[in-house]
Amino acid sequence: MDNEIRRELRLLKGYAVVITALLGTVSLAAFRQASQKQRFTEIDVERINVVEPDGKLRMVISNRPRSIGPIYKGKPFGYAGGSRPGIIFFNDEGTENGGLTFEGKRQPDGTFRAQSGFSFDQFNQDQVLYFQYNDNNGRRNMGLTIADRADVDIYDLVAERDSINKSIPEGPARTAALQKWAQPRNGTPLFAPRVYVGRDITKSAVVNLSDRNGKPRIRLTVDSLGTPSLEFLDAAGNVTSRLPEK
Amino acid sequence: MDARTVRELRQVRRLLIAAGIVSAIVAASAFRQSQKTRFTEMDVERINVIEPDGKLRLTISNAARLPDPIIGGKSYPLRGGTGAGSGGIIFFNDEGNENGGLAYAGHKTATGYRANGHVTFDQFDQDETVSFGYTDVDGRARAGFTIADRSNIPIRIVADSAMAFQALPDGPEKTRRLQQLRDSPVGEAGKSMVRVFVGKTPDRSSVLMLADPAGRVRLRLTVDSAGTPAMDFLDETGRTVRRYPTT
Repeated sequence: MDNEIRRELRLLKGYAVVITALLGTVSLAAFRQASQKQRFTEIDVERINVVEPDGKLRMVISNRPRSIGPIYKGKPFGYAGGSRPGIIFFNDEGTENGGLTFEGKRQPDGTFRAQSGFSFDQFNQDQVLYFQYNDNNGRRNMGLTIADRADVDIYDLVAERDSINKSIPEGPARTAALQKWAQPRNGTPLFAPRVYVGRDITKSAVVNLSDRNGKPRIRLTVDSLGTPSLEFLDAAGNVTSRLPEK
Repeated sequence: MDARTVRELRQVRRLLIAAGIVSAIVAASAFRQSQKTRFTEMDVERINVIEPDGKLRLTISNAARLPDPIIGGKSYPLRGGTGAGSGGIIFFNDEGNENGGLAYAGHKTATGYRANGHVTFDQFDQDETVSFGYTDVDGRARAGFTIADRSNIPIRIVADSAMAFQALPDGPEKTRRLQQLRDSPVGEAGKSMVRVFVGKTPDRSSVLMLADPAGRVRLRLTVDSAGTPAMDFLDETGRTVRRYPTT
């Protein structure tokens, strides 16, 4: 009887010591993991937010469903997330300022769509330096674009447009309001491409240098038939001079 | 001590075991972290950003763990060109097939060094169509922006053929078969027809080149290593037919 109890107690003590030591070590490690620098060989993740010490987003790397929509000073605006797999960049104020996104999929009808782009935004505006590949079932263009954007806050711009769409019913009045909204601000169009170097949907290799209204004034082309040319154009798009001379 | 005491002690032991199991599960779940987690800093050899179904969307990797090209859901140990020996980021489209990357490498060699850095986008079911990059062998550097036309034949067909011939034992037969593949219509589908290049070339010129759909340069602006500026119009044989300035 005494022997049996002593054996039970010894077992209990031994077990308690082992389990306590083990739990202590495991819990300590589990808590340390969250706060210290970690080392992994390989990890699977659906989204990574790189944040500043105050929690502001600096970069989001994500799959499609978890991808982030536009953010202005930490606030979502424009449209919801879920459509931009890849990497989105943010400036020091937590406002989106660029991205690197890529996608492509064959549709049930056998056609495909694909798109990849790397872009940098003007401060509190939209992309002004970007290169892209866009493909709609073989109708494709690839190129580098440098653009001007009006000096107007994108948040206000989108808010103005949304309020027009919300307050005016569809019809000529709304169209007129949207046309007015799309007018240049202080002489600068909302968007004006200034430089384009690429291959367009007509299968031409082209360089366009454009004026402040986004109209090409110098155009270098090798078209789909291989014909090379250098053209100077006026503001209306008429060719005023062409090389090589006939 | 009686039998009742022994029974109670046994109950205590069972309780303690149960508590141990519960605590272990709690601790294990702290490690599993399937939800949002915050780290200050982490060292990692490879990160896979995956879609909910497990398909890769992006990998960030060191050179050793950089994934092989994935085409049609299948892995092809054929990485050559700009990605070979590089670390960086590989992109995948909605079907889980590689569609571009951001790769960079550099190391000393017996003769000097080799270095490269690239951002590339692939045509759908094909290879690089847009490339923004730098390649350098012992100071002979090419850096610039390149746009290429690619065949509409899927790259999978080229890769499957290449894999079959790569599997042959090394020797003249393998060399001959690989050359034959390169010259065949399937091999043609693996070729890049460069349409646009803006950048600097290993002969120390800065250039803008526009080419026809076969990849033949037809318009070229150059400032060569001696500083001479020129604009050339070329025919399809590569002969300059008009040069400016005309003097």
